[in-house]
Amino acid sequence: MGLLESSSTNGQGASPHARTRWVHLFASLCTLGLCLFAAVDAGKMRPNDGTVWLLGRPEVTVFEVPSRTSDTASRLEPGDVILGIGNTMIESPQDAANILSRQRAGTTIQYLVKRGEEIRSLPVSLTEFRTAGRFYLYYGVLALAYWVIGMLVFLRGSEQQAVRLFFRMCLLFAIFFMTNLDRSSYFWGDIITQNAGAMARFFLPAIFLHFFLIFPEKRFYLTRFPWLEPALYLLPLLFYIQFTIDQFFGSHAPRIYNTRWLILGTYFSAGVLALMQSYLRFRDPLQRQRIRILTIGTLAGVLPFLAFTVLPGGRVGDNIVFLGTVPMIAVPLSFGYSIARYQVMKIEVLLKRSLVYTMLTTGVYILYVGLLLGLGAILLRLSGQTSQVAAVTATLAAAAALWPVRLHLQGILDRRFFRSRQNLAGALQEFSQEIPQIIQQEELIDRIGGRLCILLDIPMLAVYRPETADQSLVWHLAGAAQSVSYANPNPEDDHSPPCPEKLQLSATAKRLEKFNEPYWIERRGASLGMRAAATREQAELMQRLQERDALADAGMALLVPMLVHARLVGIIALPPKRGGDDFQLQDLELLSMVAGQIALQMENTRLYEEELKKQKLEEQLGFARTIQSRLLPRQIPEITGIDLAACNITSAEVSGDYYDLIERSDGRLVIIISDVSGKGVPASLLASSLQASMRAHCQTSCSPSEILERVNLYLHESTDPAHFATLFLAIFDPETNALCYSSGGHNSPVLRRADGSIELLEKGGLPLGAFDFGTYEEETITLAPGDTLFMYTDGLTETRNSVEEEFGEERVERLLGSSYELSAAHLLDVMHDELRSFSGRAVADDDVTLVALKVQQTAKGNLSDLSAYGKSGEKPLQKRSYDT
Amino acid sequence: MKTSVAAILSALVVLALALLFLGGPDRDYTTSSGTAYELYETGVEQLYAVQRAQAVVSFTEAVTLDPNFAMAWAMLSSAQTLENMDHAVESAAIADSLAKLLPNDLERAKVQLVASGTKRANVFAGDSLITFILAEQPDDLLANIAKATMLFYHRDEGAADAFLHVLKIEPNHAMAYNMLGYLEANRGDYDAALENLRKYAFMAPDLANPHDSLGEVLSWMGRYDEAEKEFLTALRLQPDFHYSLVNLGEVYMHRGQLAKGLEILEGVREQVTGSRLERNIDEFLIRTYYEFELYEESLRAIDSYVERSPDTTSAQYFKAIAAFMHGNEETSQEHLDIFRAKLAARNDPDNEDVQKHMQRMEHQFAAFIANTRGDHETAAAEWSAMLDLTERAAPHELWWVLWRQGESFLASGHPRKALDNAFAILEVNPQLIRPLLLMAHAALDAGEPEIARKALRRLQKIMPAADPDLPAQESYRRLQSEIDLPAAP
Repeated sequence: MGLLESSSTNGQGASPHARTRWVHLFASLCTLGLCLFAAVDAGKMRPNDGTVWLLGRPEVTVFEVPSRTSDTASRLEPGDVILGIGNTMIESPQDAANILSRQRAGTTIQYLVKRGEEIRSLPVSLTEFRTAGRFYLYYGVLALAYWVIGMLVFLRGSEQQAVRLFFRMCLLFAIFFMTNLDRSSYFWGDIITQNAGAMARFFLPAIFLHFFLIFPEKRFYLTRFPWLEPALYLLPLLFYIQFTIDQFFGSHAPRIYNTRWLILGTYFSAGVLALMQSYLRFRDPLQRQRIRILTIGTLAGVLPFLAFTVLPGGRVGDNIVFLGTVPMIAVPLSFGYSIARYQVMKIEVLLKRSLVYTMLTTGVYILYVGLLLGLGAILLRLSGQTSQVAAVTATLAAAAALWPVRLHLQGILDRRFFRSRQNLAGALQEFSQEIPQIIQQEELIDRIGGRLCILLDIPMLAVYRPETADQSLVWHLAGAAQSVSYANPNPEDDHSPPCPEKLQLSATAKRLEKFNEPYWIERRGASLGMRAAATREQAELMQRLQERDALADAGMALLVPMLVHARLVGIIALPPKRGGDDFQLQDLELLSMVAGQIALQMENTRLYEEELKKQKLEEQLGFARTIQSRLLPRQIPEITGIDLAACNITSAEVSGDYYDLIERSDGRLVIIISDVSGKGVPASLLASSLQASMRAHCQTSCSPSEILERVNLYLHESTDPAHFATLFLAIFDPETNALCYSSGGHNSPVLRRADGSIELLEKGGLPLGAFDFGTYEEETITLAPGDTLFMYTDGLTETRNSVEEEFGEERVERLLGSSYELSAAHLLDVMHDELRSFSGRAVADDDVTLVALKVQQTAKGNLSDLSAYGKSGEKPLQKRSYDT
Repeated sequence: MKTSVAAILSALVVLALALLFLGGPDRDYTTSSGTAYELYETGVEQLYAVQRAQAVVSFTEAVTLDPNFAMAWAMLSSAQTLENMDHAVESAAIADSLAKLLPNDLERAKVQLVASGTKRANVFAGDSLITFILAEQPDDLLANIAKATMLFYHRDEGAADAFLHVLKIEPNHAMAYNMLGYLEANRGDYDAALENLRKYAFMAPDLANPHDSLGEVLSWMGRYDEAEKEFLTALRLQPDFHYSLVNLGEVYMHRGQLAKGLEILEGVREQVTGSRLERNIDEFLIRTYYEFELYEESLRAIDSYVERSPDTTSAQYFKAIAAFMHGNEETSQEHLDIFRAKLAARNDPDNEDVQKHMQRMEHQFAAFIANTRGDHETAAAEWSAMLDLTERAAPHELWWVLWRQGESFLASGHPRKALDNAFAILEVNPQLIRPLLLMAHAALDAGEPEIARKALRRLQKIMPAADPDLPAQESYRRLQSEIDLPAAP
């Protein structure tokens, strides 16, 4: 489970509404206002008798006499009931406050107090007093640091629960420190400040614990029992309510006062333990590294606080409390550093000029100026000069002398601060130069993967790609590289399990895509322990745990996402290192960056290959078109008394349509129209083969059925059974107008008689080449003058319009009926126009081949007499396309 | 729903603002001058804080600004009365006349109530006014003060509660603490009395009276050192505060330092000639001399008293005692008869309190005679009868009678009873010399040497400071020899 696991699981469940964000910002402003108010109140001078009173009682009872007044003339003791001040009896703390506020510091005023059963009149010297203690300025700096870091974090991203909690925690810390005053209870401002301070003291521990229970990862029991989170605040809430009641109405303030320390101690200790547990549980060096500084900072800040401030329960002096509070600055600083350095909580902070870097750079400049002034003064003294010119000269000389020192210090700072980035940049340089040169995906994986295996000392590395371009559940092995190096010259020695060909990754892939960081596969004992998920969040978590176990079974130790434009295009899977060493932070950063480059290159490669395939296809199509065009007769035979026309309308993809018109030596005309299954070059080749076979057989005296039977056998033997052809073969005798035909599974040609009747030429058999058996029927019909025979491929009748309606045979027959007076060529034009109009498309889905034969009224003669088309120039196009 | 709530809240806010800005000045009493009213309020605060002189100035300024300000006149008269100033009655008369012009019955009643207090200081005559005002305004401060004060002077049991109610209304009414302190002391709750008197002293630290009151209660409790400090403080604040001088003298005399005490008391007596205080001093001296068995001095004190105050009722009583001490019983009886007649003439004979007082004096006289004759059984019975008639007396007031009765018990062979009396006295004031001696003797007779030693130990701390020629020293020394105790350091 990753460092940001908690963020993801929580962020998905409740994406913060804009209103929530505004509420938080409003709370932040209120906190700032409260802190400023507390600062003003703390700085206000006031006459003071050195006591703190219990509120909410009918009488004014001295709660404590802080040590700061030990040197004053105050003789009041805790437990004293103040009956009167300055010759006036008082009934409430407000009465007393009113009297005191009219006094001047330095005067001695008479107090009437009841101590036990005795009533005494005591002179009390009023001192001039601010509630701000000696260390208040430091507390102010602390509060400001917490507020700033909280705001920085929140403004950079408020979608995660951890961020929101951290923000609230920072606000409470700010209040906590700004209300850390010497307590006084004279003025209403003090009451506000003290009450806000009490609120911070009760709720801060709870939010501290809560934060470290969900950060860096959410405890599984919080997911399983969501009510635990609000329950954390129940006890502080009850104590705060009781405190408030006691403060104003009750009589148990001392007990509650001590409870404050109990709550602080318990919750802070638990929070620190939770953080320690998180840190120790992580084996992932990236995660460890990320929280190492903040863990150290938190421990360094909180442990002294617990030891010197909380455990004594307020029974120690200001100096000791201050000692315990000073290190608390380490908490915001360590968080700020971790956020800037490692983007903890997914907060993107500008690295180069980040908070820490800026602070340190400022420190360097301050040091430089200090040294500059010091050295200038020394030079001035040594020279014995006192004039301003000499002073300026000395300062400039010192500045020049110290400038290299400043540069050196800044360089150290830069190197220290951005060291790993520089190292990474160096390591990446090689890959950056090499990766773009490798176009082939397999080569890329093999070469770069192999280099990575050597660098990382891992036996192998596998790259998985999604089954489909969009997000996929199934990831296929795209390639694997093995380490062949001096360290392991024989990869077979590595007994790692083979890379699985497929990975079922859904939730993990989502996580990888969302967070774009290495995912550590570690089979840990923690599980949700529930049979069914109640929420989507739980379901995803359960799914991810299952996938994690499967990956661990497959010997994987680490997954590195490959993202292009925030889209997961691949996953690099790595087994554990040889010898069981953990991956180092630098390893993971290197992997992340190389994965990004590989992903980009693979994507480029994929696009390149796609383009290549497209080009190849285009070439094939061109070749197929060439073949197809050559199949078609270059000339339409001219036969007297016969009007013959044919055309082939090609689609975007070349199909296997062809027609042939062969003049046999016996004067007969062979008409062939065929549609070969498939597209492109294979179909064209088959058509070519079919044409050659048909031409050969058609020169014989075989009948159409015999020819089809032979060609069928030939095709079946020479081609794949999946490839076949439909074909219509007719032998027309111009002398007798007899037409003998047979169909090999082809669309039945339509014969329109001169009298308007329609006949379909249906005799025949199965398509050619599909089976090694089958006989073909044939029929001989006699065409009369005015009869029109129309042959076509299925591209015509199966063309669909926008409402998925087919062109259909009926439409063909109707057109034949309405166009019977037209020449064969015009008939084909009409048919073509109707088809284009019907489909509404410029490009046909399939090739369309049409052949029309019309017996002229006058004509009767041999082929040599038929030359009308050639003379008239009305010869129909042999080949057309919609786009021409 | 939310809209309607918001509308109601808005209306309330508007109403509150309207009342705030349009309601006009909030004054309880009629005056045309806001400044005068402020001065009046200041004066009232000063008066309650027993800053009477300042209060007179404030009220005077108030009535100067608005001469028709009736209540300011009434309060001025009250302050002037407390300061014993001449113009008090005149101010009260003006207040009274102005009150008649006031249209508001309640205000008029209040002015009249305050003004009536001037006419008969400390005893408010207008209890009907009080009743009327309290019926209208149960928490009216002036009426409650008047009521409590009236109850106090009538020794009514409800006085303490009345003052507590006053303090509930106005916690800074200093005199209420004083009154309450005395009331609690009279009830025997000396700690509570001290608490209230300390509050009184705290509120009026520049006045002698609070310290004197404190010293008085402390002296009743036998805390003579503290009492001495308070009296000295009172005298430092007001050197002519005779009450404190008298009380200081009495403290010394209780300690057995008769010469020192007498010197003070004689000095005061010269300054208060003809006053009730002078008689009080004489009565105290008579009793104290008798207490310490200085019978000659006691007789001289009686003679001196009779000489200075021959016509007083008490003088007749003392004459009777003196005659008896001189052995002239008939003359003594005659004086006693005259005393009875005078007492009856001065007071309502049907008054129960007067009757009881008469009876107490009779029993005291009879006891005195019986003691003198050596008939201690009879004396003890008479002292008991007298005690039975003093149910309203404060515990510290009864010690002399209890002591005399105890002596009678001891002399009549009832040491246990004597011991009980000694315990009762010393429980209130453990520093009284004669009761301590009685306790020691009675304990010895009753076979309780430890109690005797205890009494002796206490005497060891007291007697060295007492006059060496005090007859009680002889009793003390005898007692020391009887009870083997190491000498006091």
